[in-house]
Amino acid sequence: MYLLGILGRRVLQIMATVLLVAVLVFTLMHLLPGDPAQVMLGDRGSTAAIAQLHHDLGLDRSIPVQFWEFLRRIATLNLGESVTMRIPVTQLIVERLPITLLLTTMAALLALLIAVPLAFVAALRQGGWADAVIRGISQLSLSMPVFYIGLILLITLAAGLRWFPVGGIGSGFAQDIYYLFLPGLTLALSLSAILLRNLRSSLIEVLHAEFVGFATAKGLRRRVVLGRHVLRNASISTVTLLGLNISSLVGGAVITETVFGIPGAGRLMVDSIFSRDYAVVQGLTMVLCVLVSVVFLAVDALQALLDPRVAT
Amino acid sequence: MTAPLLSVRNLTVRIGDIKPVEDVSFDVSAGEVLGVVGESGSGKSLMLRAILRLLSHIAQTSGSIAWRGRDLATLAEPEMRALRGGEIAIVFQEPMSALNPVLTIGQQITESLAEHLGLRGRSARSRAAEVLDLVGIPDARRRLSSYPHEFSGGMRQRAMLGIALAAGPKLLLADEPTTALDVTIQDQILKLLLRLRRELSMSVVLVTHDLGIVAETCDRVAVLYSGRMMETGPVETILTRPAHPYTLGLINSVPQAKDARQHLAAIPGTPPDPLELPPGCRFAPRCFLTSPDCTRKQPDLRALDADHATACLYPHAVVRGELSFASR
Amino acid sequence: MTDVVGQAVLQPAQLAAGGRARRRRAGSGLLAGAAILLVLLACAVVPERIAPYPPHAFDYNALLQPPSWAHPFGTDNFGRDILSRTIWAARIDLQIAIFGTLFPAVFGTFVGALIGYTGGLVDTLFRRLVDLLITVPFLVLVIAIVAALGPGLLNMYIAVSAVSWVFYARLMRAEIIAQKRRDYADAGRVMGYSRARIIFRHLLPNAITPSVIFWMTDMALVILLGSSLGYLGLGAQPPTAEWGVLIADGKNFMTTAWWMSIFPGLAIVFTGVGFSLLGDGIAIRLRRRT
Repeated sequence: MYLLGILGRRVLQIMATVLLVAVLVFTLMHLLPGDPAQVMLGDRGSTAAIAQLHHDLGLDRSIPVQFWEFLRRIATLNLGESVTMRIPVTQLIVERLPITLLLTTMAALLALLIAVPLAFVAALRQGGWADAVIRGISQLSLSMPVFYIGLILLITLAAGLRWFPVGGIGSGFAQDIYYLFLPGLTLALSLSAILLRNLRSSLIEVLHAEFVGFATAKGLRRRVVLGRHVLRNASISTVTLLGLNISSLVGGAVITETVFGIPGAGRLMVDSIFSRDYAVVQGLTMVLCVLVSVVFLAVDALQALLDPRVAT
Repeated sequence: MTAPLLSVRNLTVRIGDIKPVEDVSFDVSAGEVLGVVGESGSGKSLMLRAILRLLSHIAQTSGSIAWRGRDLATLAEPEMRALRGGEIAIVFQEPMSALNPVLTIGQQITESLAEHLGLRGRSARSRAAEVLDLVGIPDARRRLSSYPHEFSGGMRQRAMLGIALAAGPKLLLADEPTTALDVTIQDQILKLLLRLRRELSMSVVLVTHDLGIVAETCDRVAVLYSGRMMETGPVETILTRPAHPYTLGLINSVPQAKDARQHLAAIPGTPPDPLELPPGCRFAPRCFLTSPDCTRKQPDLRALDADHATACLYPHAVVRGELSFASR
Repeated sequence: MTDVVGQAVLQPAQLAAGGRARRRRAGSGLLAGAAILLVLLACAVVPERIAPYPPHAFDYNALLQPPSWAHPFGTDNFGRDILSRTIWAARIDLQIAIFGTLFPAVFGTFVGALIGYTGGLVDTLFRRLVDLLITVPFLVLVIAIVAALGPGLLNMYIAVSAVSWVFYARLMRAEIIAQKRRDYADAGRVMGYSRARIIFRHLLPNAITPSVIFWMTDMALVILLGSSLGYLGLGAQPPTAEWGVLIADGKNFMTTAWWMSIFPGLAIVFTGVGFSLLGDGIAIRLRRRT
């Protein structure tokens, strides 16, 4: 099937990208001034102790050798050990990544929940006051930094009205959802503005398309025309946009986790960059990269599914 | 004579300050093919859409449209919906834009069947295959799962016809259905239309700018200029003894096959700007027969005899063929 | 409510009336955007004339005061006037908008035009680079570079420039490729014009519009990024007044002195709206010509 061909090529592209990321991450980490051994041992470290630690961590080998080791271990899914915390990176990631995944998924769903109905209203009442208000609010939220939105939500809904907790996460899935609602909403507000803008103009374009007129002229109900003809065609580009925005969702997660004090992978990334924990940064970046690439793959597949013209 | 199926009286479409269709009247009888001829900008497409009340939010429509005796303006929206596709269908000029690119042809047929005939599932698919067969698409069953872009131009137009006619309407409004096609395919589609007219006992309103098509396929003709009806009558009469200078001009501007090199006899001038219409008869600035009466007041469509009507004040000067544009 | 019928049937004259109304509204957006940016420019260039207090003036008698006539935006935990600090911060944030986009815009557009016109291996490499950069979160990359170089505005400019030029290049590349296919480009080649001349004097002026609009948007985005980094402690360093830093200053006083964080944030929003109004207005004006 032609589709498999496209997907196959995509997978190869992803592998190439992941490799490039590995090189990038490795280079960046080794450019960072500061020595992890020194960071770990602090002032207590004598020169001999530092040298010993270097040897233990494999930091005394030459750079190419270190890179090769790095690649070899990745291939066996061994991401090494955290330099600062002395526990396997894989374990750290398994602890922290699910929270970030939950956060980003909630953000994506909330964004869709907000964007789709509003885009419909704006498109159907194009030029009217509802359209202007929706576009205005959307523009406003695009102009707000994520941390600012988070702070406002914190001040009003959490600290002020006490509807939500002020930060952290709960124990157990259901509680997590409750704790992550405000952070998710924070991310969702910016994302929904982006999706809204795109979906609204797609909808407007499709609403004026001749096949919509033809469908109505066939005597179909309005609901059917809007759902089966309009939405399906208009959502193609918006779904793609959502997928492409995954990496900015992750970036936003970093900020949101900081504002709300959530122990997720975003915070882990930032903390590790500061503590020069090579292993964690490398491992986490690779994992995030693969995840993002998988999402891109899914978007491609979804696009081919929604739009039969793509496969031909 | 039996009452006409469709009876349009004084149809006017107003958009903002302009009236792209003004005071148009015509009839369509059962089983007849009515050709509506006009240049682009004459309002022919809007007129068709007005009949199905598809313009309700961009234009104001006035006048009466009677279908089988009922005034369509009195119908509530659900009744109107049942009419659209169920009793009166419309097809457009460009099938590639008129068909939804992400749905299969089968789906676009069965949704109409579900809405109008309540057919679903296997019986719907069966009927859909029959429909494709009827419009001359080979391998109908398999083609149900094809997408519009997988058809060639002529096949797409057949598919669009099939979709429009799936629920068995009695009147087909065809808005320049062959303009976007090659000449050979045009011919096939026109023959198909005539066959469908016979087999489905259907009437057709065929909008076109091509007099050749009118000559080949239509029973009666209506001539539209700048939103107003200039002449209506049987095709024989209109083409051999036109009663309006515009019609005469149209006929004369068709190049004759006999001479290798001819002077192209176009009608001098261009159609008027809808925002700046001339006083009186809209064709007067380009007409060879004008008199002061023509510019004083817009002439109404007047019956010359039982089935021939014209909006010209001097129809007999035209019919006698004494003066023509080419001879000036 | 719009009908779901399709307006493809309307003739040009009929659509013209609607278009005129839209263009009038666009003109007012452009003016509003320009007005906003002028206000900001004034705050940036002559803050001492506009701000009621100097930015570092402590007043221990007026700690954490809510908004009042004396202090319209309230005071912070050192008694500094928030309004004045916000006004003084405009200089830093506008600098961020300019320096964070100037190099990427110029360099990226230039390189993008070359790549778009030349194609070949260079183009393939470029596309791999783009793949790479859209996979790794932009913020994470910038944080990593800033962490490597040390916190501070200059390093932030370096970090942002090092990455965002690619997006300008991608945009220009796509535009050049589209323009390359048009007939007038062939005409240039047939007449024997040098490659550089074709690219820069013929293709570029036509292709530049999306880049200019993107630049406007990017300036707003860079302010958001800069203030985010300021909030995280990686951008401008306290006691420099930068809107993100000001918001971070108020982070521990959210319940007791919400005005410390809220007002500087409004300044960011104000700026963002200004840039996008300006960008949209320019977009409509420029597209009308095409």
